[in-house]
Amino acid sequence: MVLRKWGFPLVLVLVFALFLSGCFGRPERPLTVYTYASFPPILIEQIVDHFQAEYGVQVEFRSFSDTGPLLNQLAQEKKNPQGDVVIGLDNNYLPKALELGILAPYRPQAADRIRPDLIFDPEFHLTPFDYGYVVFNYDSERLTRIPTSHRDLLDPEYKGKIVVENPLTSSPGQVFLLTTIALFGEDGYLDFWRALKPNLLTITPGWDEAYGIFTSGEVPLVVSYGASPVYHLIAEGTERYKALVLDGGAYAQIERVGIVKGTPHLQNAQRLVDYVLSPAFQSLIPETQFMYPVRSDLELPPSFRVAAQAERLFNLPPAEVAANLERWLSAWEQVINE
Amino acid sequence: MSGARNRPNCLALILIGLFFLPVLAVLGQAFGRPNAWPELLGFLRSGQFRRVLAFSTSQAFWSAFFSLALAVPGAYFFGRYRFPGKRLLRSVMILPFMLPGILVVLAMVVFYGQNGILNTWLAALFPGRDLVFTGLYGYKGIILAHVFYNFAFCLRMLGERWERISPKLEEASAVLGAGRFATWWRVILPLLAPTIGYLGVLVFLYSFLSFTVVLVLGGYLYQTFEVLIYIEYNNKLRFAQASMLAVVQIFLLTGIIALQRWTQRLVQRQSGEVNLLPPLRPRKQPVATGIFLCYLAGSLLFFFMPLFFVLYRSFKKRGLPDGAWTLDNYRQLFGAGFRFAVGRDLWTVVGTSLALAITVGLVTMVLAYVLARQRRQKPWGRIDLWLQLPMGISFLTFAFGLLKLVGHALPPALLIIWAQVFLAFPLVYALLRTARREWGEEMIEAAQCLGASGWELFRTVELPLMRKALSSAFAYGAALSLGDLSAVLVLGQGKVITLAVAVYRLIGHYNFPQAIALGTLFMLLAVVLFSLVEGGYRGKGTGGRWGE
Repeated sequence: MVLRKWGFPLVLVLVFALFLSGCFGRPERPLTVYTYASFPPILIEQIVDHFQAEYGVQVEFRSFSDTGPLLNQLAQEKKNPQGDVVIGLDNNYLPKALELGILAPYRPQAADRIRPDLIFDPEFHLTPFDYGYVVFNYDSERLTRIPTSHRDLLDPEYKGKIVVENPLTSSPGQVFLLTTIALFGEDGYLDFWRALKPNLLTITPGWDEAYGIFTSGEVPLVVSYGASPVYHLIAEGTERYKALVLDGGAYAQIERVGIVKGTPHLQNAQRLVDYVLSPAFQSLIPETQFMYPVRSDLELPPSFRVAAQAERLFNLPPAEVAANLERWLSAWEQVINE
Repeated sequence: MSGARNRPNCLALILIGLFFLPVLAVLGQAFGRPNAWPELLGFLRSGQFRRVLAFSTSQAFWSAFFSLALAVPGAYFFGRYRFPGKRLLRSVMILPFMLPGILVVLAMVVFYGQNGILNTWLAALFPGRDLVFTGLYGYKGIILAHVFYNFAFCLRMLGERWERISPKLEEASAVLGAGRFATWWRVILPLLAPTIGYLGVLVFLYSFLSFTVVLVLGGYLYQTFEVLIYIEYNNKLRFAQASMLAVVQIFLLTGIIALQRWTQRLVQRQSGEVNLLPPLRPRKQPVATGIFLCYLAGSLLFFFMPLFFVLYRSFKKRGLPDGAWTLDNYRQLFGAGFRFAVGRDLWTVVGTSLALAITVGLVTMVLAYVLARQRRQKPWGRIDLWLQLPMGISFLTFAFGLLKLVGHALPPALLIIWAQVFLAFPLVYALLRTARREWGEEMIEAAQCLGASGWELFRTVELPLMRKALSSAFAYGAALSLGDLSAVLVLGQGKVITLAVAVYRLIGHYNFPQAIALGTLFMLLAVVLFSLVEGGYRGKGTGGRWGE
């Protein structure tokens, strides 16, 4: 009886409280940075502390489940931006971001120090701040014959020994698909995948699952990053897992930072971009994000001797990728489902 | 009471509003476009639609079938006997339900994989015979993983239901000359049927909506609608198309959920007495005990060994199966490295998770119970059906809709609670609705006749009667909250870090051994929590701490 009598008012009060709590306490928005969920907390902390100490400015981070939803949010807020800086859009999102017109160009102070072949955007809407090669990693205790080219991977010897990520759901997966297009061309990449298919144990939705299957000892070959072995060296003291540069080069995934157009915090947003490119911040990247810093004047830590070194970049021009990606993906989808 | 009968139920309407407004926000986007209808028709005519529908339906059917077929024998022992360790087993049985998807996948790979434990055992047991289990990556593997997810939980719910069927019915049936099989077929099965039907629908829906398992084990040869929706939202950034797919899925699943109306109408009134179960006595019942032990061993082998072997690696150096024994992976959870990768220290993460789980468990339980109580006189009807519908809605669609609708107005923690209540409500409500409807009404009415009323009646008669159902309901709500990753990632803005998020972040930073160690702590914590919650109703006359 009691609940019956009070149940309804109780819920009303609850709902009311729910809405009230949202309406109060919204003073002027602090400098807000959008990023994706797996951006290292230690780097976030570094930025927050630096801005507090140096300028007395409060920085707030808001993370999104993935890069796609992040970009989508920016597009929806175009007229009334709620974020000021965006960290972590990679090369494949560059054309889309430019097309949406949501970013304000800013040429950072350290622009000349950035490795030039990573820039791709001469107006600096999105400035590269780190990059990594998406390459195969192998388990040296389980793989007897080490392949040297992508064609070697088609050998029946590797049947059921390879795991890759799905280019439709995973960014390293997408970069690997682009690698095959860069190497075999639009006419050849589907044949490569057709021939590779029997050797794939499975195709996972994300890097997590693929790398987990790899380190469980289920397969000796996986698509991962050039600096993955660095982690195992630092944290576990082992060189068992090694990065593999096939065909003498690699495709780089380049992560970028940019300023949201229409931000009320322009000066601080520019300071943030400059800070991300400063030697102090850049030298933290190798052993926290396991990526390479973009500054060419920095020395890498000794642990990076086990990371992949690519002589040449396979990267396709972003505009070409943007124009064709959808078609390439659906053709890939069909081949996999044949 | 009679005056209230035809008044619309305000609480139900508010809940329906809270559940469906975010969905409508998304759907509006799908059909507010000029070429929406031709596109929809085009999709419905495509080969992809037929392929996805055929795969989703058939795998979901077999997953439900095998989960239930394996659960029924066990439910008999859980429903008819007391035995040592029962309470612990019941708490453990919720675990697969709430494990982070990645840990389940790793468990399957480590045990059933091509270089897995099972194949090592097969090779050792039958040398030279070349017996290899290769079915993990493909259709069979997907069903295996779904059964792994759902079987234990079906066993638990069915066992709880069986406990409430009075053994006197069987005795009466035997006295009247019916054989054991006839008794089972004509007396027990009809009483169990609504629960079996409900669980069948539930497992079917969970498997139909499955995502990670289908993608990892199917290697993209198989797709569910949820997979297509995810790709549209997350990678192709086409919200309208994603919403259209979500609509198709909702319509397909509404049909399935409507089946419940039929099974739930079979629910009959039971007496309100508490059944005291006899203990299982190995000496007097050697056959029953033997069968039970074999069953237990079998299900432990196939369903707990995979988990066990993943957990075991958390005690090994660097997580390697042949590494030295160590507690390093656990020690590191308390160190700076954890904060470094996760962004909070361990205690904050545990506290956040527990606070969320307890809030969601309590809110869901209270709301569901109030409603179940208001509707106890009525048969399973349209409103009940509406409240079951969240089960058929893509959770991703709901979370994105909620973000769009009130993402700016409400703090992340409240959004997450809202979403998780949405996730847990159908199950919790169905459980309490059945319990409240079929149970103890006579006793409450008798107490009312004797003059008890209001709070006193509730406290002294109703609460003790409903205690077991309420604590189960709370445990399910809390378990779903603990296991949820997507709501926290989509709605938490990186400010709410739960155990599931911590596992995800550790893995994102290569820390697999620590992630597994954290998963182990996570499970321990859950078992302790559920044992405490469900510990209050032990029957009289059992001495053992773990006996019921």
